[in-house]
Amino acid sequence: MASIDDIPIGGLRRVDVGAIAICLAKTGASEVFAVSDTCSHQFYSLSEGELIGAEIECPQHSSRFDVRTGDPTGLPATEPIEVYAVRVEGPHVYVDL
Amino acid sequence: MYGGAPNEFLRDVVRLTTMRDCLEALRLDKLHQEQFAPEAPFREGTIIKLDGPEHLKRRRILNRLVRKEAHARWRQDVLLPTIRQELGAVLSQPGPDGIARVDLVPFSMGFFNVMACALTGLDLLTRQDRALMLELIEPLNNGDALRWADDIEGRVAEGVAAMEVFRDKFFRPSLERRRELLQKAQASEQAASDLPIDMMMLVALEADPAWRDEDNAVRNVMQFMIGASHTNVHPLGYAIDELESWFERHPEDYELRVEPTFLEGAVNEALRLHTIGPTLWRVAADDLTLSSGVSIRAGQTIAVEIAEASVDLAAYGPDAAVFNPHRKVSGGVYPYGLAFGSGAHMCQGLPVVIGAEGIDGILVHVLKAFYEAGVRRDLDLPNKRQEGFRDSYTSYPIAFDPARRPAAAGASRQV
Repeated sequence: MASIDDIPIGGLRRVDVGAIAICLAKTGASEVFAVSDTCSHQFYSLSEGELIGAEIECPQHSSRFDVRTGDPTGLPATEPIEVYAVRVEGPHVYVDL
Repeated sequence: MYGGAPNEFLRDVVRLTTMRDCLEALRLDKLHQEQFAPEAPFREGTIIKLDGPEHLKRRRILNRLVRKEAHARWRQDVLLPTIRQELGAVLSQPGPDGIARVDLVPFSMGFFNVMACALTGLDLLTRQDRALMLELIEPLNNGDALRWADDIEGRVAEGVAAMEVFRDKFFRPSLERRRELLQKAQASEQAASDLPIDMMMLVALEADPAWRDEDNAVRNVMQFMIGASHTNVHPLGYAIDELESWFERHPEDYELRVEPTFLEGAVNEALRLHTIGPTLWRVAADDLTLSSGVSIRAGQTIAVEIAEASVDLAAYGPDAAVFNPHRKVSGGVYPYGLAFGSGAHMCQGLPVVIGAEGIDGILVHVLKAFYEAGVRRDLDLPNKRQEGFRDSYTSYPIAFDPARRPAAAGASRQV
């Protein structure tokens, strides 16, 4: 799906697979999480936001989500976002959809 | 219903009054912020008036100030000490009956402004600075509701004069101090982690290149400060008033008055039932039809009636118009109604007002401190309200009665 070296540590990257928009979040050198790129609050693109530790912050309203679980960790979002399993093999990042 | 003289702006208006229509409309990129030329000296190039990518870019920059890490630091360094200090000053001067009294409106305007200036990075170094800033707020806020004013030219002139005082007395000195701090950090004379997290520091860092234009930066800083300041006065007064009435009807809940979760519910209800303004205005950039069937033509003015939608029976049930701090909501509606708007222009200060978790916001903390200090209405004095374009208290006398303090707090507890 993506090369791990294309994403800086602490960075986000949007990947579209068909109609599914995925946000890859790189929290460590070989640690990547994949969540839905769509904020559960008002559907803005999370990959345009920021990764703070293991939390992604929506650029519009500062809603926060734990990229490991998809759980909302900051209002105004109250609903979780989808989380996808990730495998990192060599430089390649694979996401199970 | 909007006050002021008959207005060309209202000639061709689509009014949206249901929560469903309002939420949908506020989310649409095709509905733009309304522009009114006389507001330009106060609002041009600010987050209030920008749309599209430029607006999103500005929000991303300002998010640094309201995100939960920054808010936690501000809460410890500013919010809690300010509440302790301001409330302590009132409690230290009780009347002969042991009860301290104060008018909530000027009192809260004062301490909310101190907190707002700290978040903005406008240094209030003396009591005189603090008094001057409070004097400036009303004329600086002239950009707001200017469309409905009777004497637009006069109010613009008054506001522009106030802006020049603001620039000289607050903006420039505060910016200079932050530039000096930055230089020290760059020279390793000060830890970068100790630098203030405030808007003036972002201006010093030129976080947005648009702020290299001093006029633009002044407008943005001013609007940020105003937005963070006395907008909290309004819901605080209503939260106390509604709670006092609630406790009369539900004395069994009185013991919950210092419980953050209960106070969160009260804050949400006060915000929902008493939105600071009745209407958000938009202009349609294109023809469109809402899912409910409402048609809007390009160029039409849209009145998003947030006060009306916030008591929509379909969204909040048959008791929608009644204060209920135990209310639970579902179905994608906000517990605080449309008090913060919605969509791209939803109030950026929301995380400060309600906190990241609902119970850590500014209003819950203030209410908790007030109830720990035994707040109640001052039954000897009537409150005064201004009704019209905005329904708000101009005076709300309160008393801090030791007999009303929670048992655990004790009659002599410091707050």
